[in-house]
Amino acid sequence: MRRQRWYTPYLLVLPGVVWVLVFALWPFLNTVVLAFTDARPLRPVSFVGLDNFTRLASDERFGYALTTSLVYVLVCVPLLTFLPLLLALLVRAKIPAIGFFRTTFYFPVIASAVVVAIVWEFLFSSTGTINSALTFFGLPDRPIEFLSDRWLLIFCAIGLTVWKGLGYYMVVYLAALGNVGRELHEAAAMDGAGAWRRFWSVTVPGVRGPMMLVSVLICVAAVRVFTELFILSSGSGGPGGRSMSMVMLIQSMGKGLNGQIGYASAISIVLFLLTLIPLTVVGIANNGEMIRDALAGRRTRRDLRAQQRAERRDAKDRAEVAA
Amino acid sequence: MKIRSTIAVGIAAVAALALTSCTGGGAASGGGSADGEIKGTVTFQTWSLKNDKFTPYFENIAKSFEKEHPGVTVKWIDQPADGYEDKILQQAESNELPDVVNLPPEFAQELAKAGQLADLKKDSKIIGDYVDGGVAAYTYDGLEGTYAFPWYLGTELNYWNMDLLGKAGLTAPPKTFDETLDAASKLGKLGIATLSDVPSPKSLQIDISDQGKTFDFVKDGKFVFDTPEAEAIVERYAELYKEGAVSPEALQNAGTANANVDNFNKGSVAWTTAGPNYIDKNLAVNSPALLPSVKVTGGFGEPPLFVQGISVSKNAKSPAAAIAFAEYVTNDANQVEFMKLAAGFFPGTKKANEDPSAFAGTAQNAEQTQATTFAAAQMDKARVPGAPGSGYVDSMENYAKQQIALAIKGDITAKDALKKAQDYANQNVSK
Repeated sequence: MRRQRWYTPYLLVLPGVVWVLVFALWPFLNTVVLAFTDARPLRPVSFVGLDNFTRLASDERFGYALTTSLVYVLVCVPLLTFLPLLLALLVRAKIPAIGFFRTTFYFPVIASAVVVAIVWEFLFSSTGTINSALTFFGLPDRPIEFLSDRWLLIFCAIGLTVWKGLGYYMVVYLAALGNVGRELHEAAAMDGAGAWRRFWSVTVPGVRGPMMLVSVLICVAAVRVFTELFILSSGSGGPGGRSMSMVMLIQSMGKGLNGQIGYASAISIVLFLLTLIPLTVVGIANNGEMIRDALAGRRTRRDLRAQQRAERRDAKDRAEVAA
Repeated sequence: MKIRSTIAVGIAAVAALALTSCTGGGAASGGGSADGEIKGTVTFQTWSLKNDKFTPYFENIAKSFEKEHPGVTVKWIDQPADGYEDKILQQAESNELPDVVNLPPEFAQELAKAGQLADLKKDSKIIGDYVDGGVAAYTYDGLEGTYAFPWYLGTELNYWNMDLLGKAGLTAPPKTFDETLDAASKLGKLGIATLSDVPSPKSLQIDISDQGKTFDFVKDGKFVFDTPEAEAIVERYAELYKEGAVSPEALQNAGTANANVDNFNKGSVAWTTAGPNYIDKNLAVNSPALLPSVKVTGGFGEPPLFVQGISVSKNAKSPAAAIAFAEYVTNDANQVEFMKLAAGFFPGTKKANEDPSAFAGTAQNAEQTQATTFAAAQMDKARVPGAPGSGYVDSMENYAKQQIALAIKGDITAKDALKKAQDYANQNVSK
């Protein structure tokens, strides 16, 4: 067989690299530059320094968007980290026709988010299924405004995200659960651990790695939520735009012939920095041992150097004394 | 990137100008009023008009123009209804704006400010043939010239769900805006919503004119929305909301185009405003079951005038041919033919409007005939809503609606909402 040329590997990764450069890196750098300008479509651009960022601080819509995104993270992360795990434990049981349930739980993942959100809108609108049912039972005097109340709208959207995400993360956990040894459970049971204790002390530590991954994925997705809120509020972000997410705000500020691209870019940069936080936290948590080792190694080397210096000084002192 | 593309657009514009000045001065050939030889390819773009009804019309127009002007090829393209603004922006940024293009006044304003459109007042000799209101819609503050030929005009009518109104004992639709609010209050107490939309600066202008007062919109070059009359209407809406007269969807969708019409189509709201072709084009298609219960009446106060125009790109490769074609599409005969297909709309030239019977199209539903009659009756007093040319754009209207929705829910005061809306518009108007 002929030996490959030195550039073959580079040639193979070239399409991927070009793709990333053109469609990810270049637009990203462009956004960073635009964030410091007053760019609008079809107009000359001038640099405005940090004006866009100072404007952010006084823009109440940015405050609302930030709150929405953070609430989304705070509620979605625990729900989507633990519910799929419980679901995975449930469908792992070896009982007849369990495959049917696994498939069913996975269904929402396949469906288009837009279509599902439209269905949810039918459910929750003032004349929708839920309000009709409530009225039928004579419960409220007037329809509950699920979709025109700031928090109800956000929670409807969160419900949709959780429902749609369950199946996906369940599959991740199903794969991970295969790695948790039966013998550990048996040993724990022999030591008198109940089901609850075994869940916390055996199952959870056993799937810690995937759990970290899942929570980061959810965290990043939750900060960037768009579709659910956009469809449920028909793009308005609810009264006053108070249920807008960060991405919705970026979209509404930057779109159109009159869009404020510079300002929208500044919000994008803030959003990017926000998504870095969970990534950093998990990076540290996952590589904790490596970081500890590195720190310990540095300490040892420092100690070693100090020792060597002390020895050299001693030798020098002795030499001086001898002289 | 932006800077470079702007420079590129600039260079192209200068080059186009240079080219036109080279060819200028030639004998004006028949048909077009612009100078220069009518030759070459003309691209023509319409907005959501490719269907069984309109396709033959446009194909025919292109063919007959080519026949009149040998050496000209017309390429007709149609863009889908959704995302037209983004499409236009993309075309303008990549310097590929079609030579002759259908633009609403707002889009044309942004493109004209960026120097992308030809000034038809200067380049065409027949701009005086078009209706004044339409020409005014394409004439902008701080910009010399007119940037489109008015093509088709529309207005807004009131549509009522008589079944719902009947539940409060009403046998005829309310005649004024104030009567409508009173009816809404009655219906609200029965658990029926009447108001399918929240007010906006543009709709407040109409409502206030119906009360016999005026809403300036712009005063001394600044947007002014916070007036006692506007506050009173928003406050009244807030009271009506408590009574259940405002549909929750109106608040949910505040700032979404056509949300009020979709809301009305569900059959749970008693009133909406919509264009003159609503019955045939929308209701009969989307909610035919509602047809028997819907009744149309004329718009309140000074009803809005909606204009669609045909603009010419400044970078057209054959400017003379482009202008000639734009004039051709919007000439009396072609506009009359077009209106025969578009029931409820009106031509953009003065002469074509003289005889409405010439374009009285065949309505499919009886109520559509009524709508067309009401529309024709109010075209004289209709005027472009807001303050044409002031730079007031959809994003400002949407922001205002969102704030007013909050005021209606009682989260902020009417004064705060209107003030926020006017501040936002003043801060974000593009120079």
